[in-house]
Amino acid sequence: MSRDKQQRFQQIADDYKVVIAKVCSVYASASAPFADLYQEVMLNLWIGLDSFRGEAKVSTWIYRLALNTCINWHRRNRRHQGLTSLETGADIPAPVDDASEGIQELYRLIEHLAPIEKALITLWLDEKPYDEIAAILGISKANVATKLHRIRTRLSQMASNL
Amino acid sequence: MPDTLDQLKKQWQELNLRTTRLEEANNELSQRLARGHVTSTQQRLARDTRRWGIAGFLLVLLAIPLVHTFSMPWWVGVVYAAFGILMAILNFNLSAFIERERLVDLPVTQAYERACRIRHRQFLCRVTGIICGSLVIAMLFYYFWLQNDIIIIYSFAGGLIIGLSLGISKAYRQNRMSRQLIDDFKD
Repeated sequence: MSRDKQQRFQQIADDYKVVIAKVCSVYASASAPFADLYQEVMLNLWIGLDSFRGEAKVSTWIYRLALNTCINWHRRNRRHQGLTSLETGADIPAPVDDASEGIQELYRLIEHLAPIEKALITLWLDEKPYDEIAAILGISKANVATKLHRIRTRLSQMASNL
Repeated sequence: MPDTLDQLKKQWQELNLRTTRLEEANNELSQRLARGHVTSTQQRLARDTRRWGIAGFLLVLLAIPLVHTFSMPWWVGVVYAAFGILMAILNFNLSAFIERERLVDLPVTQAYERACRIRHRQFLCRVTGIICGSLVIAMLFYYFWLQNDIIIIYSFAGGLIIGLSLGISKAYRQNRMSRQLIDDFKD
């Protein structure tokens, strides 16, 4: 049972490592290091694996899980009480350290957004359709469109001011 | 000259992450997670509630010596056992409800709503337990009072204080856990 779960976990973690890493890198900061966020997502993935019944697409589920984890991390950052501390000691370097100047600039812009706005823009950057973004975040499609329009306008203004 | 947002989006999609280290980390993490007992607050709350259900069944077992050993009237045993069965059903039901809710992978707004629902049902279960428990305690106390045996009354009061202390500390712990569930998703 545990071995089977471990294999399923490993399979999903490897298949979606890029998605998880991208989400974590968007939310990573000095107070929320990439390695900590990545491990917390993995911990929730492990816990959530038992209850995942395949009703949603795996990719939708992974996005939800990763975004929820990162958003929650920020919410309780000041008095962080992780679900269960995972003393892995694993040193996981952020996989985008040597990213291009453009990507670095994108991160700097996104840094100014609220956690939920970061979620929206991350999904938009990954070219997720509006209905999938709505399903992942639990808001209406119209709300997604409105919010995204505002965020993109803001980011464009910020980019032009740089 | 800064890139436009659409150009940045294109760069984002073409971004090649260095994933070799991530695969190693995944492997390491999966082994550690498989070895340890990793539980979430939700799972701990469900487990704690299930324990209350087991305690309910123990009350049913205690009803037998109440009648046979302590020679209490049969109706006292029946009421005591009925209270135990009620608490067992309520707590097992609540525990199953908590386990069914998949808070970790729901959208934040829905997860918050479900966490509130768990807390509400926990509250209803507790109120029912307090009301029914108080009636059973009052009934037992009245019976012991009629017996006019000061030792039995003192023993009963002592047992009541110990039981209440344990119950309150457990309820406080459960309350903290359900509050934490809500806080995790509160905006």
